[in-house]
Amino acid sequence: MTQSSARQADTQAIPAEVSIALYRTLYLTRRCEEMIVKIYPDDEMKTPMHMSMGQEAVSVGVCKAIGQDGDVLASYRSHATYLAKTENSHAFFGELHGRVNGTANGKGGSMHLADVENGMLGSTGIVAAGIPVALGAAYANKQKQNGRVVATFFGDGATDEAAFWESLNIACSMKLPVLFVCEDNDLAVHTRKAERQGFASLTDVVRQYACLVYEDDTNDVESIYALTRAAINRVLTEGKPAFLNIRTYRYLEPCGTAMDTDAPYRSSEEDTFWKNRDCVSLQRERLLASGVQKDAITELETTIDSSIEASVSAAKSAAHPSPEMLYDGVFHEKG
Amino acid sequence: MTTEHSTRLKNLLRTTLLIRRVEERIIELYPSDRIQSPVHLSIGQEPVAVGICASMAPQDLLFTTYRGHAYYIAKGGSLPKLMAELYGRSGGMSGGKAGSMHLAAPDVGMMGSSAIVASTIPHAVGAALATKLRSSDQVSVAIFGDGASEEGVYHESLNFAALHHLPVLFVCENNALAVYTTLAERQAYEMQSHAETFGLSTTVVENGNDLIEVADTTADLLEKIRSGSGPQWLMVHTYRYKEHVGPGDDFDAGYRNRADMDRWLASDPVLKWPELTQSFEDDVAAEIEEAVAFAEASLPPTADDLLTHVE
Amino acid sequence: MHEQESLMTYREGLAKAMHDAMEHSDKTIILGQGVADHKGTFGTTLGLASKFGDSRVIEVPLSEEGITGICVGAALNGLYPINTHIRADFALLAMNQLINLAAKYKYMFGGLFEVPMMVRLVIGRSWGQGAQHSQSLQSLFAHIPGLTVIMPASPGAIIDTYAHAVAHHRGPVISLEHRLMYDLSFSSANEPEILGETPFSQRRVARGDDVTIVSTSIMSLEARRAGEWLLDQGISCDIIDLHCVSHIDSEVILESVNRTGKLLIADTSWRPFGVAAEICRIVCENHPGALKAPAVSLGMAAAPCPTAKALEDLYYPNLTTLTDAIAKLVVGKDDHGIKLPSEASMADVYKRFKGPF
Repeated sequence: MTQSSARQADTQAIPAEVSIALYRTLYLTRRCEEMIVKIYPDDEMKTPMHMSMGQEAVSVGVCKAIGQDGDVLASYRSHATYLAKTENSHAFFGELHGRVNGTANGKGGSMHLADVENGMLGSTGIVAAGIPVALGAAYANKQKQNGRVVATFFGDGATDEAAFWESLNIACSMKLPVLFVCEDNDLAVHTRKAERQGFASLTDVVRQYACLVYEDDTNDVESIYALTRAAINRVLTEGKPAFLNIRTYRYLEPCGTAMDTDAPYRSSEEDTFWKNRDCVSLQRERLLASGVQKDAITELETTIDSSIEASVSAAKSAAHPSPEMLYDGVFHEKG
Repeated sequence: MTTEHSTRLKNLLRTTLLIRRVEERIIELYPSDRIQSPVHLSIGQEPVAVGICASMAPQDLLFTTYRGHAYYIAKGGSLPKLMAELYGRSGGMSGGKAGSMHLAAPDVGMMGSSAIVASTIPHAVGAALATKLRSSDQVSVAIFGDGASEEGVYHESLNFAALHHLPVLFVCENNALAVYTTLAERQAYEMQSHAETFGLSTTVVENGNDLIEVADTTADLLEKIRSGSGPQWLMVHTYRYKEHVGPGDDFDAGYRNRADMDRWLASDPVLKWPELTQSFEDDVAAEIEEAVAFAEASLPPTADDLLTHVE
Repeated sequence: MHEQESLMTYREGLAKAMHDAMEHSDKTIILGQGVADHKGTFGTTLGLASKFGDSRVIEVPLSEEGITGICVGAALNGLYPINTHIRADFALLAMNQLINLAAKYKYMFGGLFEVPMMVRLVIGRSWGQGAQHSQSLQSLFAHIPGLTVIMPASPGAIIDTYAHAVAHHRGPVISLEHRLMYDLSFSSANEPEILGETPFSQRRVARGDDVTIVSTSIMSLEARRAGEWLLDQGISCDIIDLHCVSHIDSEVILESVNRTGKLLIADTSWRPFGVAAEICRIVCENHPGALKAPAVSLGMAAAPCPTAKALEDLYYPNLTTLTDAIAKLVVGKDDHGIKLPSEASMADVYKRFKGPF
């Protein structure tokens, strides 16, 4: 793992309010998922959960760097990306509960979260399938000359896929304002990169393309934020896509809410290594070290916890979709 | 040039000439509508096929593309059966069901060709997986154009071959054109270094017209693979004289210049040694006429054939 | 329990079929995401990598099209590849190789090649799987000449058919396995009767005279439960499990319809252009006069699958809607007076009820 002094210099330039905002969103994301872990056994959320826990810094750092000036598409491990982009835990829990106040009136579930107004253009249950969609959105932005970027999130498993390589070439050939964000947790379900990839380094391959390449292995949200800001600037000024390879770590099983730390594909050294630099704790410690009062942080946390409780209550009391809604949204509807 | 070289060159040149004249005969026949299949002609690219096939061992397997006439002939497929196949006759190697884009001759290791760009590349990888399981010294050769390297399945195939250290030779016939689109319009990467970073050893032959160099390079790479090098990647620069599909020229189409072709004509082996070429012409012409006569005499398939070989 | 009767789950049937295939010949290889991990493709390939080696049980990159092409190439070079997809939906990334290449390699070359291989697709339906993890895509594949598409509905069907495919069938076989059946237990005594020469043939789940029910996959189990319920109320159902949806023996269907005069099709997928439409084609083309009432079909609602339980339960047929549809068809009116079972959600039932069938 590398420690870059340049990177530390970058993060020092981050204003205090941004640091706090990053923590707020990290905390929101983590606590929403902890709530899921807590109430999933009640069986009221009938949707398979691909949990972001451990990986939140990627979504939060990138989405905060994009802000309202861009769009994102997530993989099926969509919770952190959705929450980081929208901060809307109400619609989030509504959707997980299959209720009408959800992001898709309950039709999408955990793998298909979206909020178009807030630049969350969707998430898909098919590995790598969102990447070309992001290219299309970026192409539209380029045509409109609106200065927006599109970030497409995917795991390292997606880089095994044909669609990833086709998209990378197309984005570079067409000089699209798109950020490829690889959430590199080294795992496709239970399979390590070394068992799937014949090449030594993905970024070495990607460097063969006409794009900008960034790497980060800090799990530090501010580092990821700063790196993304830098990437966006260059994407917009140089007119080429950027590829961000961000090393991270998945705490839970690939699908479901349980820990699987003792599963044979895991290593306890790796687990300890990453949990010792948990992204939420890192940012909390940074705030304390920078002089933010502990009470202020606790207050912020309490507010978020209450809002999550409220979101869950709202979801539980929201209406189920009505039978008439079954066919709504099919492209060709009976006129 | 030594005598040995001379014999070898003669053989290579004769096959090159045969392919050229077959393609030209197809052009002649085409307006008669007796050839019942769209044709992607190999003219200009024949030396690549000839050099590669000449260096393959009998047990090696070849997987190629819809621009497959040259490979079929160079690998030793029956010429009468090829002509009958183009005629859509029962005497074709596939009884008239394949046409120009799906040539195969498994008896000589020509394992099929496909009209879908890049689609036979994973077949070569899969065949090499089978070879590895058997621990034999067979090599699979995947032929594809530069356009195929833009396809996702190309990347999936390179990755799997490198990951499993498979005995496969990837050969990119770089004519710098996908239909009418030039490389710069399609590729935001350079193919050789791109393949290198995938973990493959790479080699480039700058002049695909150089029969001996193509053959020697191929022989060298096949030997490396047989010695356990893992997959190898070879790019051979070449030039397509004719339009993408069909019998015509298309230098008036605006996407390329005749001057480009002139540069390639300068090293075209069919033109380079006119006396040597001339010495084969009668033989080659007779061989082709025999094949055409076979096709003409071959009967069309019947209704009984329509539903055979579905499964 | 009868002396010769034995119980086996669907999952155990699959695990045995995979083991048998590997033991049958060293030419068999299994490739797929998760085939060699500690979960072993829902337990169906567990232990095979350690027993037969990782050169024959191959963990793969997420490269569906490439892997399918690799299977085709391996088959061309003498192996029998079995490729797994933990969701049928994922095979949509491999449609080029499945439809343009594997299905056509024999015919397109006039019989020069054969492509013996199997693709195992798991229909992911449980609950909340949504639009991209639950699809039942049999008709998409069965539409393509050159593909043999099966939907085994019991461990017996799995074991017989997979063994037959591996040992004797020289073309690509696509098997759709229904995830809701994985944990269900089946009694060997109830193994449906094979109505033909090979394990690909249709099967009779129950014999009856009042109505013909043609069903696929888990709907054959639902049809059996509905048939048992209705038998108590004087309605006897002739239930044909289609099993091989791409190759339907018309005679089997026509014989039954001629006898009963009533036809209901219960499929796991959408009705338009699917199994229901195909069965109706067979009857209409061959014996349009056999039906004494309009045919009825049940399947998924014609929409992508919603995750909300409130909608998902409407999306799929269940025992109540199936029994009601049969009763309406047999009695000839909506107000049929037949008592119906009360079961609004098939997924809920199979969470509790594990058989044996």
